[in-house]
Amino acid sequence: MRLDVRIQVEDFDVGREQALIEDAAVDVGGVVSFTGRVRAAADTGEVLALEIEHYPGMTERSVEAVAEEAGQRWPLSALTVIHRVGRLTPGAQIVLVLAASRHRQAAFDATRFVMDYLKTRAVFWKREVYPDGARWVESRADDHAAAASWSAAASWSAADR
Amino acid sequence: MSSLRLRYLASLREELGIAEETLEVPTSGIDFEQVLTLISRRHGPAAVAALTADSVRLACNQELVERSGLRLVAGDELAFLPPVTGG
Repeated sequence: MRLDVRIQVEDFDVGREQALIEDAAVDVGGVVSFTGRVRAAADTGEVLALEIEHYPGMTERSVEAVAEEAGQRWPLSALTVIHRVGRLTPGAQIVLVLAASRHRQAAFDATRFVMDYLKTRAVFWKREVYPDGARWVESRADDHAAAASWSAAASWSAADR
Repeated sequence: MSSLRLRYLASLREELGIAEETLEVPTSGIDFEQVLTLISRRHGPAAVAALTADSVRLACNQELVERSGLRLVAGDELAFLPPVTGG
């Protein structure tokens, strides 16, 4: 599996990242792409910016661990995970997951799995900036429920093909 | 005596007012509870309450560790992590 994990301030180009996978990986029957973006308005009012903090070193390893687990659960030919840090404005791209596999189901499932696990296991903290101040985003119970739903049995076994 | 590095991440950095600091510790090491006592002397009991909330995880040298029985030695980096909110 071609594994590419990056934590970066810079924006990313989904088309370019997909081309990198298609050029480098073999057995790419399909590629699933998920891009997370900064929402324009949160429940609590107009968001001016989203600040994403990380813990250099530990953050990279936490994302790599999620990606490697996806690679163990599904027969992927390539997996790219890019997560941005720093100050982002509404509409900006935050996170990219690209999963390639011979089989579409593995690519779809692995993409969802990586996002669900990133929410609860990757070492990042979000802070929303409003006109009247800033608030740390709280972890959500439904994110934890989504991550917990990926039991060991949820992996895609060769016997199911 | 040598140094133990403490890191306060995200909301805990704001709570404490600093991102990191060092404590001088005996070469034989120091228990986590003693670390809290030293932090309380510097920053007060409210800071310790924030750092020991149930939702706060600890990382020693960037690996998650449990609080119970935790012992730190000089050169270690102990980080206090509030609940993560990535993705």
